Amino acid sequence: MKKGIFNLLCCTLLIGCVPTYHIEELGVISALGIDLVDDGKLETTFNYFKFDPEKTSQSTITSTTARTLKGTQDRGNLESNLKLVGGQLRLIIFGKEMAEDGLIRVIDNFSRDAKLSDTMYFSTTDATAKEIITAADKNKDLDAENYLFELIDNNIKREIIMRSSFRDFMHEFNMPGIDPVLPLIELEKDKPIIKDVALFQDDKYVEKATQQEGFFIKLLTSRFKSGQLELAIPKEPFQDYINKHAKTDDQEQITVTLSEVRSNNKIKLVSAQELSFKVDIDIETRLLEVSEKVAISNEAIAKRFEKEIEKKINSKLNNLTSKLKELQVDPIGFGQVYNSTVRGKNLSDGEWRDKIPDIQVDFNVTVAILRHGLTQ
Amino acid sequence: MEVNNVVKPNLQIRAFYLFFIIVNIQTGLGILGAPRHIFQEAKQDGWMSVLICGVLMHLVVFAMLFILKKYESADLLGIQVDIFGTWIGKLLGTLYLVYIFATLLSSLINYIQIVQVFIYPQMPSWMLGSLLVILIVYTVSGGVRTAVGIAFVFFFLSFWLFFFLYKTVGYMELTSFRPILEASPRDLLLGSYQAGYSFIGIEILFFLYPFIEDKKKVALPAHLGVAMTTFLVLVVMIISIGYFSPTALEHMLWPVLTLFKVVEYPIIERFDLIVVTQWAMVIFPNFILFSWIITYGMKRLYGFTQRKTLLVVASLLLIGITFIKKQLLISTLLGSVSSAGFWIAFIYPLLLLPLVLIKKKFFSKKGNSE
Repeated sequence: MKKGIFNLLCCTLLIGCVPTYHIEELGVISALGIDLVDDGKLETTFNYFKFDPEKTSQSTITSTTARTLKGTQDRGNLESNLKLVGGQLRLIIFGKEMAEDGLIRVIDNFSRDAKLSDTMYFSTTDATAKEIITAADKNKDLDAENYLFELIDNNIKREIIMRSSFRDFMHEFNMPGIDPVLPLIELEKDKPIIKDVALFQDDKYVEKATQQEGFFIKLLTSRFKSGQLELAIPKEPFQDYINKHAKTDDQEQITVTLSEVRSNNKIKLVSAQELSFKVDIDIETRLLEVSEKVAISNEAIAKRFEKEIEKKINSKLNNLTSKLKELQVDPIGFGQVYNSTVRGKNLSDGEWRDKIPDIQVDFNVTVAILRHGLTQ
Repeated sequence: MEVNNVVKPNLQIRAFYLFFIIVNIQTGLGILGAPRHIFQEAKQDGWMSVLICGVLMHLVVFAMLFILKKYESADLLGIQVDIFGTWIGKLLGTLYLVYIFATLLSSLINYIQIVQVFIYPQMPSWMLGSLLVILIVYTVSGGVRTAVGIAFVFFFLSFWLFFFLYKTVGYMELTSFRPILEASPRDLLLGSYQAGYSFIGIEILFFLYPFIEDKKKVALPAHLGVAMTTFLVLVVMIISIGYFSPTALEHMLWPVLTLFKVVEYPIIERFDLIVVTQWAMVIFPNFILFSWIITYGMKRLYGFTQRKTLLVVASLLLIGITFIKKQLLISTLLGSVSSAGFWIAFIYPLLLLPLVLIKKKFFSKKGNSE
């Protein structure tokens, strides 16, 4: 009994030695913007909030400059009465110059610090990160501490842009033969929005691609469970079926919207010498919207739709690959497929990059329209 | 010193507990870093190394049980005295206990370090160390049945963590496993050697055997326990290969904890912190069982009371925890313990087996103390 009490006492007293954090004294960082400023210093913009039941908008912004990321956080502490903590960090925005210079110097900190979550999002911008965070904070219609995070989160969950968490970025960065892609936040009328995606060579931002190209990159790298795609297909093959009364301006094209796109892809290396790849893509989808009045009344016309969409996707994919070849980026991971097929020493990122312009890709797209809504 | 150690019936345990004891003592900290060490050698074929290691481990268990069955109710310390004579036998026994102490110390330090890295960077090591050491002293004072009970209960209290790895399966990439069999047989064996650290702890069989009530039924739970550990290491290995990129996996200290970093729920956003905390329950039976081996071994060898040894062990542990602080030094310690473990835990029983057979065959009249 005496021994039990002694042990209990020891345990209780020792627990008191652990440092405590009072939630009212914490500045919880929710978003972080990192910019490169003169002579290689980092300017970090913190968006943090304090738990205070009485106020509605609690987020504050501080920008500081130092040589390392933790250095800027220490300075941030000097500019605030709160202790800044990063455990709830959800989003990191890299300014254009930072991204073009390479992210390697800051991501070391992210992978070393166990306090940070692996599921926080990475994104980049064509402006400076400071502008984006400040704009979100100034815009009174937006809920500053959540807006930027939700902007990315919702679009990723709805499969409009690619998953770009810290873990994914690190994975693609570290994996030889595949390059990362991040969403690109832009300012439109003082409101941060996502318009494009940023293509990276390892950790360096090289070029942007449109959101639609982003869709095709995702189509080639992962599976869609319920994606959306808008495509313009030629009008000519459907001439006989179009209801002449409903006239639209466009003489040559019909725009179709596919929703609930389910896809599956398979990339195979056909010949290692010629670097030729064969890509099979299966798409199952629902036709949600057609810009012309076309009655999908029989198998033949449904087939024709499928054929035209396949052709269109095929040509889009070919355009995308030639763009990627020209830029020498490989977000699709052809290099990874190469490495996993060819025995022997794996190609490093650099070795693969020299080979990218020589690759040949043959696409084979199959589209199945499962449903076309309430009408024919 | 008596070779056979007949234990009073009220201290005996049933054989089926061995399953939980073995799984628990093997899945400690070794499994947290195992994928990295195996991957460094065997690359994407690491999972084969785990399987090879598992098969070899069954062989080791078979050898251990074969040795033990030659005696009526002996433990390793008694067998060594029987074979090598009193002096060398006792010396070997002492060395064995020193090795067990090193294993205990290294895993204690390693766990404290993990807590410091993940949760409390400012917390001094001696503090968490004292909390754990107090718990160890308290539990081991309860004797062998308490230690076994802890292993049994904590198995169920911590096993659920394993299921939460399901979230990482969605991130796996099949291309990471190809090309299959790129590793040379040498690499595969080196990988198995690295996997061995996750299987350290099987030595407990040598010490717990006299306490088992139904000695005829020992084989099944012992082999099942090893099979279970192999399965756990295999799953963790396969997920790690698919989930991580090669460069990342080669440099990650605790890949398994990093795996849990993507597990996220609206109410628990940082599941990895729960895992680090909960890992205390995974690792605690190790501490208890190893400490018990030391105290009981000292009693067998030199007749010291268990209470005295326990206090000495506790103080030594505290001193070790306070002075070994540098991450690199800890890695060196872990490295040497794991390579010593390979020879002591796995190779030694295989060497001992022919000696026991020879002894029994040629000196059967005076060899056993029947």
